[in-house]
Amino acid sequence: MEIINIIKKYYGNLGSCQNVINEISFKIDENSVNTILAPSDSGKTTLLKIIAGLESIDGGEIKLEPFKKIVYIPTQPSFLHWFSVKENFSLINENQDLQKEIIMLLGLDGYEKHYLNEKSIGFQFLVSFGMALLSGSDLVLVDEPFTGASKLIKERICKAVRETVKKRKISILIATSNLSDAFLFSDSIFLMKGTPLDIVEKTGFSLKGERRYELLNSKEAGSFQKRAEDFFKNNKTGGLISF
Amino acid sequence: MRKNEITGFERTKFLAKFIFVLVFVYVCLFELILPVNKILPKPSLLLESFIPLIKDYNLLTELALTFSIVFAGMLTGYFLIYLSKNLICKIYYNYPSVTAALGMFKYIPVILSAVFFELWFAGTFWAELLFSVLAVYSLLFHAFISEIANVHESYILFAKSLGMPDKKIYSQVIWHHVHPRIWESIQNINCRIWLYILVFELIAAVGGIGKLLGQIIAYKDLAALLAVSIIISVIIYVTNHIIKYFSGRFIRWNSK
Repeated sequence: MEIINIIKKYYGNLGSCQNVINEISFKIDENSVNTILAPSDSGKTTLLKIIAGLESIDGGEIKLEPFKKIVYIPTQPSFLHWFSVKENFSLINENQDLQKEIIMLLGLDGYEKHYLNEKSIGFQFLVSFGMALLSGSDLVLVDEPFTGASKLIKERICKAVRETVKKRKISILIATSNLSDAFLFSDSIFLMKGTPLDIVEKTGFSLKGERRYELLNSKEAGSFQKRAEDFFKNNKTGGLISF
Repeated sequence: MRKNEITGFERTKFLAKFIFVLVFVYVCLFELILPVNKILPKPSLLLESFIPLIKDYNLLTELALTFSIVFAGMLTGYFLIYLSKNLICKIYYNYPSVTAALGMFKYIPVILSAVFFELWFAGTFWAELLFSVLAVYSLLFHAFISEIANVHESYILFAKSLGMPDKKIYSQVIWHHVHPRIWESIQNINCRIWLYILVFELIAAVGGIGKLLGQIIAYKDLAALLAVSIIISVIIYVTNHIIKYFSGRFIRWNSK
């Protein structure tokens, strides 16, 4: 998928105009976990909504190929908490075999009849993610979903997400302002300065083995942190959550 | 449980004590100290008034009529809201100015609507029933509209992104958000609709407790008025608890 020079403006009631996204271009590969790393309130959510087709653009182009179905998972819980896990899944796709496969893949087996209100952020995310998979999505856009989740939960989600990407040949685009989340989850990271969302610098790394928080002490993590901090310092951007 | 939070049992206990004190004060004041007054009848007179209320004023028939009108209106109004939920959502999201225009109706005093109905339909049973249904529907409609505004955008965006059709979003996402609020409203409506129907019956004088109240006013029968007030209050209190019970049984989630 390719984003080419997209522009997004917001118009105020009194005729004022604010650029939210300023000629951004980048590419997303198949079967990969990608992250947009930018400060809070910089326009990441708007960018994800544009890619999902939920908002229009004022300029530029989006080439969706090879992705056929794009699903956007918002920050706020968006599953239907009056339904159980199974009922939420059935609302999207009634194929029992596929449901079972996704439940097993995401480690939700045994929780099919559970309601989600009292569950952790991680569990709630996995259900939303499962719903996205059941809808046949091959590109899932995730908007800061792990805010407030513990390290252990994040590691579990990361494992489930990365295994899903591998097995179901899908791609994921996460938007976050958290450096450690970006490093832990991603194959490639797009550094963007905020308001308006601008300048893309891509950084990628191939880490072997399971993604765990110990990796944050590694050489790769150190060099990534330095590169990211330099990028944001040079672009006079604050508001990021460091390691 | 928080320190200042009171349980249902404690609330009932307090209410029982409060009513006991009220009755005690009433008996002492109006039976013993001020037996002849123009404020309230003395308790013994109140007790005696129940028999003529049933025999002379035909209380049971009139009460049955009003009760039927109120609850037939509430059931039909709820059923109509359920049937029109998708249409209401569609209007809310696609034609917000229509919703705003419909909101203006809540500023029309109910008494005027009752007078209009009386003039249009000349006080028939069906006119009263229609008035009750429309009043309940209109109250539920306003509750529905005000609650839709509280549905978080993320639910709708996610559902749209998943490819859910609008109809499914309205019935599975929005309706389930609004449903608990609708049940809360029914409890308030139960109190308000009694007032509306009594006003209608008083104006139209077709029958029911409203007509009975008209007779009580004509005879200046203070004891009968107090007895009817107590009966209606008890009915509203009991039915509100029944509605609350059903709400607790069938609505297991909260939209907040």
